[in-house]
Amino acid sequence: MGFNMVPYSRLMTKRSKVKKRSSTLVVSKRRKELKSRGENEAEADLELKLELFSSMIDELLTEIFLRLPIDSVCRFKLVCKHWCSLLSSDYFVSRFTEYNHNQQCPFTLVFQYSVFGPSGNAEILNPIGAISNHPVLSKSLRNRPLDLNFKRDFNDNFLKIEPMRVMASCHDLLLCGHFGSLYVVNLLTRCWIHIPPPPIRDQDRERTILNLMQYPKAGLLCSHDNKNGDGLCKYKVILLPGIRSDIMFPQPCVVVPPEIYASQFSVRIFSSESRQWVDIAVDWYPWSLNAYLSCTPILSHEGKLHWLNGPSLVSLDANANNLSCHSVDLPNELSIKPSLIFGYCFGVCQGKFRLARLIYKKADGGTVLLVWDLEDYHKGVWQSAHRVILQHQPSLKKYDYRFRLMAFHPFDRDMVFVDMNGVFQFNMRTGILESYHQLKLEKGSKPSTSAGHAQLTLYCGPSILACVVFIWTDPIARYGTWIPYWSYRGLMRGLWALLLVNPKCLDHEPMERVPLALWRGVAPSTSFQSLKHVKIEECKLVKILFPLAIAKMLNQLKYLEISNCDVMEAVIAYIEDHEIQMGTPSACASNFPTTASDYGLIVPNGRYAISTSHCVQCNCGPGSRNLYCMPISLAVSCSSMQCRGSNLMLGNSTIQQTSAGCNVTSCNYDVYLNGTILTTYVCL
Amino acid sequence: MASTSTSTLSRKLILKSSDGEKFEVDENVAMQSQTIKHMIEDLDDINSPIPVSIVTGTILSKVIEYCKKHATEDSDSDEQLKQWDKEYANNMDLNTLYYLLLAANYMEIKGLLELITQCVADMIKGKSPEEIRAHFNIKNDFTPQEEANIRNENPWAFEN
Repeated sequence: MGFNMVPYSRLMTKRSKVKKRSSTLVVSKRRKELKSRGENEAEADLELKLELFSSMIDELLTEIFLRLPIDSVCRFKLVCKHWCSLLSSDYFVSRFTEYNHNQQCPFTLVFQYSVFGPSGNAEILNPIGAISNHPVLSKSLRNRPLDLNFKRDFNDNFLKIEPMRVMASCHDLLLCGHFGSLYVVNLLTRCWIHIPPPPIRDQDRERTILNLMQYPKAGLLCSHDNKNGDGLCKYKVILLPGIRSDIMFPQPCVVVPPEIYASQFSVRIFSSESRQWVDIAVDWYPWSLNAYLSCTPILSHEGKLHWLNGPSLVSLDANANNLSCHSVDLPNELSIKPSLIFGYCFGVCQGKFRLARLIYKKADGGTVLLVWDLEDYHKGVWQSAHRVILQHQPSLKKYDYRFRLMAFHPFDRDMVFVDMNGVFQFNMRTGILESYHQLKLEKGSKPSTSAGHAQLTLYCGPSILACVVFIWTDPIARYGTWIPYWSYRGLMRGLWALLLVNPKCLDHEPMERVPLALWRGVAPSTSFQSLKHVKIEECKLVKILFPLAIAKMLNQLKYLEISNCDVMEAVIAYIEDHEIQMGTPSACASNFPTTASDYGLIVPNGRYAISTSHCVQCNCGPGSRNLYCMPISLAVSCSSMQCRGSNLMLGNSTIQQTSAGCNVTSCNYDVYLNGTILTTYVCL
Repeated sequence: MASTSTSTLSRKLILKSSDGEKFEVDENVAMQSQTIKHMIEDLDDINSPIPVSIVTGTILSKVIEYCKKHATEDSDSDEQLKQWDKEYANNMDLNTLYYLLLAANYMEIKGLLELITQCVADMIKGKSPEEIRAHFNIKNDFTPQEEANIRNENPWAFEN
């Protein structure tokens, strides 16, 4: 009697804390019962003992099993039915996962060399390699490429023609692409699943730019809550629109297509439960997906996908009912220039996001490795973690500093994996370089947060740090080949967003023949009718953005962002078609203060220009040398304080919408501190 | 929930094992056991022996040894304490470990429980299912077919 009240073994789980209060009551009750029975009842003690055995032995066994490596766990299922049921229970699986989240677990570095020929087009993709400190995996991986030929029905010859392409990883699962197909592979259990290709949508055909990117970036999410029928965890494959080719096209990150702007964009999600592709719209504005840093994989961390997108780190919660994004600005020092999409590394160390970049600094006399940690994700606070001048490292000398970042050590803040024609582990603090065949697992250096990147789960194996190493044999191609914008010329019907970066490549023009205006009369008249968003960057020598003839077509344009356009004269100006090819005729020069955004505005004789703030029209009379500027009344009303004549103010100004013709409620007018970046949003 | 902690720092408690052996320990030593801590909280007579019903004297003395060491942790560094733990656990045979595990669980001594479970896990982790059965005297109740099925689930775990 009363022994049913024996305290259920309260172990050091979180659950026990919750239960504490009620347990206390039980204990005290029991204590009184014991007292009342007298203290020397050995018989009762024995009974109690047996009772305890049966009630808590499973709990204790579980506690022991939690501390076993995963191969022992799988092996011990064979001991007896009781152990097997314990080790297979959902309770144990979730406890095991939770326990191992808090420990330093084995991890695997998966890498793939992708060598580009001199043309920049011919890619030779090497088989996927992997290095692991996992007790089982390391044995099979020793000095061998990763064997992905798990299933006999997969034609071996295909793999000889073209190896699998590593695309993303999540915990122990690897997402691979091969001839347009996707596969989810568990390296440890050697299970793999073929993911059918997503159906082609109408909008893919319509938005031809997107169609060019029918093989977008892919991310992988997985969770371990339940065992799936196929022996893998639950997983989701998520395709983001935006970046051409990871599977079929040869240059996964060389091509920088126009940036896609949208108030909504659609992700395609394949889930292991439904085994179907679903398109889900993500509300996010201002959204821009672009190809910068497409070399870095989409990272799965804490159940969300994270990737570098232009100057920010974007996170997508693909499990939420309403998909939502969160973005964090990158530290200034690492901010992304489109021409420098290489030399980045993005990952997680000790549960925090980490970003590194190799950058040549004249002041330091060489290449500097800069490493920043995202200390506070929600506030977007980055902190510099390492700053290593490679030329000062004796250990790197004999390798001629051919130093490519591969991945961060998931636990050791000093370690980074680098490729120097072989995988090395480089200690950024001590400068020690180790050839790296087997990872060293440092005991006692636990990750500081409970959710480390690397984790071991029962059905899933070790964590994987996927990484792709691109090698260009042609040094020019390494910096990216911008697809000439006009090669898309025939495809622009329905184009609704456009990014132009460094548009010197327009029309394959040699650099010395930079067009006076960005657009000329050559585009089909319907080309820009649905264009809503335009972003221009680094238009170094372009003086006029839209000839009036083109501007008239832009009746859908809502957002226009211009940056780094040093000599831009006007956003819109009237230009005679036949004059476009000619040099700048005599013109009126402005005398705006240097702090004004329109400093240096020059308008040719007989023309007018609308200033970048869009509040001012400046006319240059025939033969005149002086600009006559006056406020203009378009659809926006410009605040007289900020947009009056030449007294343009620095900073942001918000312009309230006054007319129904313009949907834009704010107009930001920005000159950054260093004066080189100029961003304007204008409402047309 | 009367607080007893302030005035009782140097109090002595008497723990009584299942086989009647009595141990006098400092309160702060005994308080490492959550179970005893809860018992004291509603104990009317602090001087009467506290029964630790399922723990024999031999095992209780080992538990107290552990608690004493960990009650005065400031005298040792973490490193030394770990080393001590290791030696402490390595000196136990499997039977003792087993009863210590039950005792630690019953008495709710988190550190000891972790230590022993880890120790047992380390002892068994490299073993084959057959060795485990022999070790723990477990009968194989699988049919050959069931056994083969489990092997096929995770063949890699059985490769050596």
